[in-house]
Amino acid sequence: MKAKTGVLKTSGRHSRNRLPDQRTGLFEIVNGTLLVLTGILMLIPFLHVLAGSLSSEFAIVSGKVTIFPVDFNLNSYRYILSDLSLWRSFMVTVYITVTGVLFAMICTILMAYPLSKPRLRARGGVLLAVLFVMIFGTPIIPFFLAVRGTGLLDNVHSLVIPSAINAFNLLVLKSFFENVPMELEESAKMDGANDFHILLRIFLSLSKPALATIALFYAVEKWNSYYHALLFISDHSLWPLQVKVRMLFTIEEQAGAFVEGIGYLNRDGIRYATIVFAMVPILFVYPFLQKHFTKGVMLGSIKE
Amino acid sequence: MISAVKPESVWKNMKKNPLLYLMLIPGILFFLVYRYIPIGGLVIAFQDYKIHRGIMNSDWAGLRHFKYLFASNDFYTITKNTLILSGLDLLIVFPAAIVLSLMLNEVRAMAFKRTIQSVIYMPHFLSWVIVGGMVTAFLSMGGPLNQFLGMFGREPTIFMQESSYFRSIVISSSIWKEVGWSTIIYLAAMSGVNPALYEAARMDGAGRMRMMWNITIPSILPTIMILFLLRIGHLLDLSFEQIFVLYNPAVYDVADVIDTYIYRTGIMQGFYSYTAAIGMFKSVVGFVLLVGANYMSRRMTGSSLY
Repeated sequence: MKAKTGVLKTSGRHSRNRLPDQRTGLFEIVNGTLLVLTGILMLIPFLHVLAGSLSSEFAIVSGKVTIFPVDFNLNSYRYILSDLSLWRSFMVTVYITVTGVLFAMICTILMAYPLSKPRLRARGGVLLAVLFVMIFGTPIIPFFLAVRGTGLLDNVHSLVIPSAINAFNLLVLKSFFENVPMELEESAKMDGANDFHILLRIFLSLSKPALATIALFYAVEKWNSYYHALLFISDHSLWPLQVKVRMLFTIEEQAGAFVEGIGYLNRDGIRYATIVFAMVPILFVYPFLQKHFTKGVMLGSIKE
Repeated sequence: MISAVKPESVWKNMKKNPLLYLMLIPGILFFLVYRYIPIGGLVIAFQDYKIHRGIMNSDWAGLRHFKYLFASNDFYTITKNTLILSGLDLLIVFPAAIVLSLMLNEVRAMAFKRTIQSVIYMPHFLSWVIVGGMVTAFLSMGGPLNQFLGMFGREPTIFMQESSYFRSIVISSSIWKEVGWSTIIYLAAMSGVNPALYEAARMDGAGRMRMMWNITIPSILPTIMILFLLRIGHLLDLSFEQIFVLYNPAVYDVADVIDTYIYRTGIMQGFYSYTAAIGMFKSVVGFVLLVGANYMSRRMTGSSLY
């Protein structure tokens, strides 16, 4: 996919569009206020969920909780953190994310490298095939049957192998590899290095930022995977976190759990705490995500 | 294909670069098994596919599933719902991102800009399951929205159970989750605008709005066009996860879309051939839309995807 326009190119961009001598006027004030309001609106759902998870059930049902906890207590957390099945789902997701990212990275790197080489005769054909898949998509019923046919139903690897390569990530890495100077490769060849050595020692070490970005893309994709888990995994003990969290929202019998030492809990508090539980790991790595993802979107927009 | 024309050439190329071809194997296998076999597997739309008999031994059904499909009410409901939600997305969420980018682009205090960006990018990283949970909590009987409306004397409503609110809920949750993130690509395009243009405009006495209208927007038009094309190509692809976590049987009349229908009827009830026919309809229409939109755009604006 190449943007012929070239406007998406990030080269030659200017960090300042404005002259420094401009004064703050009405425009700035209105614009700034609107942006602050937007930011606050974006934050309110976060604050509400956090407040709800720390409030008593009575306060939630009677509609007293807005963005501050009412009757502060940690009962909901005590309850969900003692739920072993939630921890098991958490571990399943950790496993899927770690294996999934490793497997996806290996496959993507191994494919992107040859595709970045014009000397590869099959290059055009393979790229066209990848592009077609990107445009046509993967029809879900036959995809399900293919996963079933390869024996991956009710297997956590159904969330690793059938989604190994993301075509977009592949093309991003390929164009990144294409920008590695030819001279480095040629001089390594003189010293008798083969393609495998060149990939490992030159390309991988020169592409660390791109690799980090793509690995994070994959990590978020795996951590959040829900649809595929819904399709392929029906065994409760193999449910990843997202499916488990969803179940905690929807299953009615969750209502009114009596917990020894804590007392009667209502479903809402548990729901709020579950949302926070599932959200925390993502928020924890958010600073990295923001930095690298933003770069990744830029990378993706650099086309030859 | 190439090998049929010049067999010795690819062969030689393979012998010269054996490692390159070796590296391609896992990727090619992946695309073959999990991408091309499913596309080929669409033939079950023309069969009475039985899971224990497989594609090879299932009976042929010709166009029966398609005839049944096009004659059914379900098909019109789900296609209509899909198109309405997609259309609203294109009409509201898509421009919202552009407006927000323009606003962010006008901010000169870098620290302020970065803070706002950090806040509005965040929801993008949450799964739809989590966002769905937050939306449900937000709109529940005792939730903040009902509290807020209660201040004006309105009776609490169970928003999630009412068909009339479903589309607004989908669009608002899309905006909340993705609008911030979508600004990145526009901001990148805007930062590529030559500052000399703004300077010249200022000399001519142009104000901020005027410069935005006459310089910034025209400069990002090709980017807008390309993203618009991508959206057109995916007009029938709503986020399955989003709809699935937000809908419930009470709102199926407006909420059931092609993908959720395929999931319930195909995966849950086992009507594989019938739902593969829907899938095929969807893929082909999507493909034609994208290729068509791309062609139109290349003719009219000169920007295209490929």
